[in-house]
Amino acid sequence: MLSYQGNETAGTEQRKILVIGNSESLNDALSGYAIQLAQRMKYDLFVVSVMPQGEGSTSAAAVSGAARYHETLKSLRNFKQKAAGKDVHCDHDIRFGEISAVADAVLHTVRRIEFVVTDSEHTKTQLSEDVTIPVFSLSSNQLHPEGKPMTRETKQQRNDEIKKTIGYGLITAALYGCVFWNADKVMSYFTKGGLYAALPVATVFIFSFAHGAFASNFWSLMGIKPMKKDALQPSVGKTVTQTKKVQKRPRAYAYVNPFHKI
Amino acid sequence: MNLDAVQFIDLTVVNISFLFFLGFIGGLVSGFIGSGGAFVLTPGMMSLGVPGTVAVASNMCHKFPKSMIGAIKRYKYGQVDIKLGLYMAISAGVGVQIGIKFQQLVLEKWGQVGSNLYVSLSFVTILIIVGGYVFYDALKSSAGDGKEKTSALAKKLQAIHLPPMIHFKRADITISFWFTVPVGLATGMLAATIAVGGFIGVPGMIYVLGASSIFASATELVIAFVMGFAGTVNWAMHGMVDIRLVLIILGGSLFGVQLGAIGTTYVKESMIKIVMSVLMLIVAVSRLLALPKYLTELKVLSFESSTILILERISFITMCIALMTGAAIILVSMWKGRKPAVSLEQSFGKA
Repeated sequence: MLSYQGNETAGTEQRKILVIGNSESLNDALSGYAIQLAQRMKYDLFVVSVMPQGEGSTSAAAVSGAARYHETLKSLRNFKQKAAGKDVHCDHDIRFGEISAVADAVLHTVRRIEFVVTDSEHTKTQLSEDVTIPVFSLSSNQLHPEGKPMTRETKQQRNDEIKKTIGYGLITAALYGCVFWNADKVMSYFTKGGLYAALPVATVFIFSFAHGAFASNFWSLMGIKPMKKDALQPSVGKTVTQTKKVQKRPRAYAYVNPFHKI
Repeated sequence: MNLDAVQFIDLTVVNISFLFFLGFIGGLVSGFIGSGGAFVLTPGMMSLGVPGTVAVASNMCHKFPKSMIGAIKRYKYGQVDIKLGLYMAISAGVGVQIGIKFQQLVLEKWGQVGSNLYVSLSFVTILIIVGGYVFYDALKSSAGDGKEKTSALAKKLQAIHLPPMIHFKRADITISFWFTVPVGLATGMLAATIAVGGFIGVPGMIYVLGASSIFASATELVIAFVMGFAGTVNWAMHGMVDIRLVLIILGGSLFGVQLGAIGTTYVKESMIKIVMSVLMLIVAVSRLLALPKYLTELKVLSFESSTILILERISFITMCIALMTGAAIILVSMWKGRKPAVSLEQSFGKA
């Protein structure tokens, strides 16, 4: 078990931030955020990576568990290195078990931890049940340092859109080419009337599906997409009313001692 | 080209560009308010030398696939009540037949000029009354929180239990079948008279049946599809459809109708009413300018032929202005409606 060797100033221990998560969650976003926060607040960091209990019960699991352990250790060392680069003291530890039990144990052994930082809302909820100090989690956009919300389209989606637009565009162009290349012949058949009425009707149906799909993908590619009203409902209708709490005003009581100066 | 010069025009780059652009703008307006894009196309085609019947037939043939694509798009956004659309379309189909019969009666009694005068007068009267009311209502609701309230008339009619009562699930209205019929008939009659049934269909669904303007405008696309399809089959059986013109207009309008449909998700509901009423009022002015011609022909008033020619041109330009104004309002409101999304994204980024 690792003993804490943080900054000690004039006999008092430095305040600390506990950064807790599993091996995958100790990523750049979390480390960047925690280090920046510690630097700004002049706190130390105590980073704990939690691994599930019981890894190593079988030989295969033991091998994979050992590999994960080394990986985690590596990521913790990276964390520490980064913190050192920003002049932030950082200690780390790997512990096994439930995250909330580990956090509880750490808080009892390491002194002056002021608050906890974790990677997700889910972990925060888990911790909040057992941990009495404040727990903060990184919101989704902080996992995307470039500031992209999670709902934004991925590169794959955009590539698909480009492919679809080009595909439907080519089909549409080919259909237009067919009609206008032989405009005279097309017109002579299409204007015969009677049962030939099916020709223009069928043609516009085919064109509208191909060209409609092309136009739809085209606008989508241009970034013109329908707005989700639910997500962007303005709060115009909602009025915040101040609730008046009836509070008992403290009353001053005078006590007169009837036996005073008797 | 060896085409019949009387019936089918030769296409030039200018013609093609003009029709494509007109199709796009018309599609944009139709996708947004459910109808209204087609009224410029018939005179637009005629201004290029296309005979009236071919222009009407080709306009009809482009209208139904455009409405279909628009309806599919808006159905995906949950704005279309197909059941309401079909009920309305059936009664509108009957309305078209009544409208045609009525116009034939007018034609027999007062001749072509009388018929034209009847069309223009009904155009002006209906557009000014309905358009004026819709505009007033749109201003009233946009001055508030932009949300719509069911009209008092619709509430009263919904409260009357006259069997069969029909529940339109998507539009979330329950109303007697007998109240849907007059709205459908009026839509069809107007469509037969001025070719734009939506100018009565959409306000009818809003103020008489109690549907929201988003649902009314989207459902109007279903009505336009059914009626356009039936009309196209009729015209195509007479060999009047110029498929080249149809495909050029369709090329532009399928871009427009989808943009208009997307636009409805960016704006307040009252914006649909504003665009529709502005369009209706400007078109009314345009038809008002055409009245002197018919009145002169009927010898009720006398105007110089040069004055009539100028007024006719101004009338067509005014119609184009109406369409352009509608398109401009849609695009500007889409641009403005886009801003909260951007700021929301930015605020996420900053958080």
